[in-house]
Amino acid sequence: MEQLPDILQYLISGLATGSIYAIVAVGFTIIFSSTQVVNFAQGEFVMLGAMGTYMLTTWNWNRPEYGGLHWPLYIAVPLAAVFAAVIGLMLGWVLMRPLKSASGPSLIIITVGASMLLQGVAGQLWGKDAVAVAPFAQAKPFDMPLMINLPRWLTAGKESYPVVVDWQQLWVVVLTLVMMLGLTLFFNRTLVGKAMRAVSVNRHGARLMGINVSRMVVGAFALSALMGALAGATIAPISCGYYNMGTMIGLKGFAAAIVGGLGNFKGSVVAGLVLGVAESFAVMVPGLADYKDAVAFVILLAMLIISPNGLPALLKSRKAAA
Amino acid sequence: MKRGLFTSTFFWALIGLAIIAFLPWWVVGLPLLLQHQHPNLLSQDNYLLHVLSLVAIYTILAVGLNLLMGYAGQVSLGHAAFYGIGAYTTAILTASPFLAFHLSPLLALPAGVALSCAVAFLVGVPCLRLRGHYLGMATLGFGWIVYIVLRQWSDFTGGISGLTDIPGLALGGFRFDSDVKWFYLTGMTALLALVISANVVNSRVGRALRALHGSESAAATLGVNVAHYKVLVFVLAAAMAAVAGSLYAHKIHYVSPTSFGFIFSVELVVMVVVGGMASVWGAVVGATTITFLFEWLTDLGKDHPMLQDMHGVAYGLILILVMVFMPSGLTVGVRDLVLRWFKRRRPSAPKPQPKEVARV
Repeated sequence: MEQLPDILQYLISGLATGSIYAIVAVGFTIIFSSTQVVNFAQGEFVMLGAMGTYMLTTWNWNRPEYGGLHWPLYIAVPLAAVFAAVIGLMLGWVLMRPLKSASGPSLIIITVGASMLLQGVAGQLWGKDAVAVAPFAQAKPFDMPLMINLPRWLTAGKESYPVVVDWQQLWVVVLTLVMMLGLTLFFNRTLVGKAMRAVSVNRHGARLMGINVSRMVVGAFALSALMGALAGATIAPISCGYYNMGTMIGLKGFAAAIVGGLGNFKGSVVAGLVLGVAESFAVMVPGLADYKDAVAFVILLAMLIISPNGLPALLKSRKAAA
Repeated sequence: MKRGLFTSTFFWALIGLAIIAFLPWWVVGLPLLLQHQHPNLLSQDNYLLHVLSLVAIYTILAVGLNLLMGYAGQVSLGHAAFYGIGAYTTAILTASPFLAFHLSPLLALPAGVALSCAVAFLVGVPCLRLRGHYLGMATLGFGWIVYIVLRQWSDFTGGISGLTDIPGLALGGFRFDSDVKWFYLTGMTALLALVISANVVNSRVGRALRALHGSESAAATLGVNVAHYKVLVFVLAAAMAAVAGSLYAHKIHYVSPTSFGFIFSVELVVMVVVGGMASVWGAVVGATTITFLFEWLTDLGKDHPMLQDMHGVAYGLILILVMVFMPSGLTVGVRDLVLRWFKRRRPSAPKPQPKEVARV
């Protein structure tokens, strides 16, 4: 097992990126289940979170004499998330009118338009270069990555180099766990969460029970934007922030949502993590490293061809057949 | 169904033919004649005609995508991939430095179309059997895969820098080497694509498509093989895109992956949305508007550095505004508005009112 440290290393970075895909996939799921809209602007919320945090902590308006804001992260990150949520709210509001009459393609096209618009404005505002965003913790001992030496019995008695874990990667995983726990509580314990679930099960039924459906739909958009932005602010110190980072993250999160069975929460989370790890391991295979970005899409395409309702449906049908 | 003059394909094809025939005269020939020169029209170069050739190429793309979006009710968010397959097949077969042999362009074009159709068939069959918008998702993933392969497989595709020195087209001894010749070639091809689409729409296939766009279940109960017709249209759209890609490669003599990415797929959707869904001739309007908008925005960016790269913002705004306020597309929406306005102005003979039907 000489490659064990390598494998663990790639597994950890795969889990970190996979967590982001999982959050984005859950965002897709929340919106899809309440509106049947596939929101292609989901990745832009991630970008808004990352760039918003950058703006509030380091950006100096491209004029050094202005000095910039330099707000602390515990103010900047929530503010950026709230800002993204407001944008999400507006997108939901724009979609309200077509939702009542228009067909699926035109709704998809509107979200694609929103994505182009947000990306274009971000490119104008913050420039096209990748920017570094500060990691969450900088004080000792968090300024150095965590080194884990594997015990000898794992490496077959040989000396091996340690596995390096960035603290920010742990932050990403912790955020994902907290977020999933919070969502579970929200959808199962609070009245608003239950109302949202009611809307996704049956809109007319929900309306008859006195639930304000429009408000729930707009709320679903705001909620998934908030989550996406938090994910963006957390991943940005690892992957850098740039104006069109949302396209790739959004599309891969979307692939995860499909693989997990569109509308299935648990499936989305698992599929997101699996995609992240698969992508990370693809780098280890010689010759595949250049095609790393294609891995998620190949899995997406294969899934659509084999079982368009995602992995859970495939597993269930196997079980039924056996 | 009785068809009037203005709804007949033949009439519009003739008008299109006349416009294509006379445009180079109007743009290049007349000014030269007025200066008492006798131009050999066919050998003239002109930037406007160059742009119009691109418009014609984009029309071929848009008309195919329009069939898919407007009639089959499916979005393709990776249509640039088929365009890219056409262009790169041509480029690799005629000019790749990595191949020992080079084919004639006349053989490379059908090869690109065949490959594109085969791939469209393979992607389309599983996705189009299902209801819903799985095709949009599949084409999106597919488009990215094609883009990444074009960018990374540098031994074969030249990587990010692309392939250069693609030969121009030649038919027998007649070489397409001027903007006027290219305009005639691309314009005629676009017209052919429009006529083919109009005929498809007005045929049995078109009626089937409209039926299934209205309601898949209803169409299926009437004996329409839903999946069959959707795949047919998808493959037809892919074939048209491949022809356009091949023409593009020969015209520009250069291909690089950035021309065939996700942004261009979205640009094509914008063309269809502006041209109006389910309107074949609207594709011309869409392609023209967006191409000239693109040129104008590029010029604007050169003059005002603040306004560089506003293309994404413009496309996004157009998509949102048109789809929210005129879901059937800009051209169709404006036409309906004008028609309604005329009707209100001139209340003609009272129409036979349908009898009151009891509400169920």
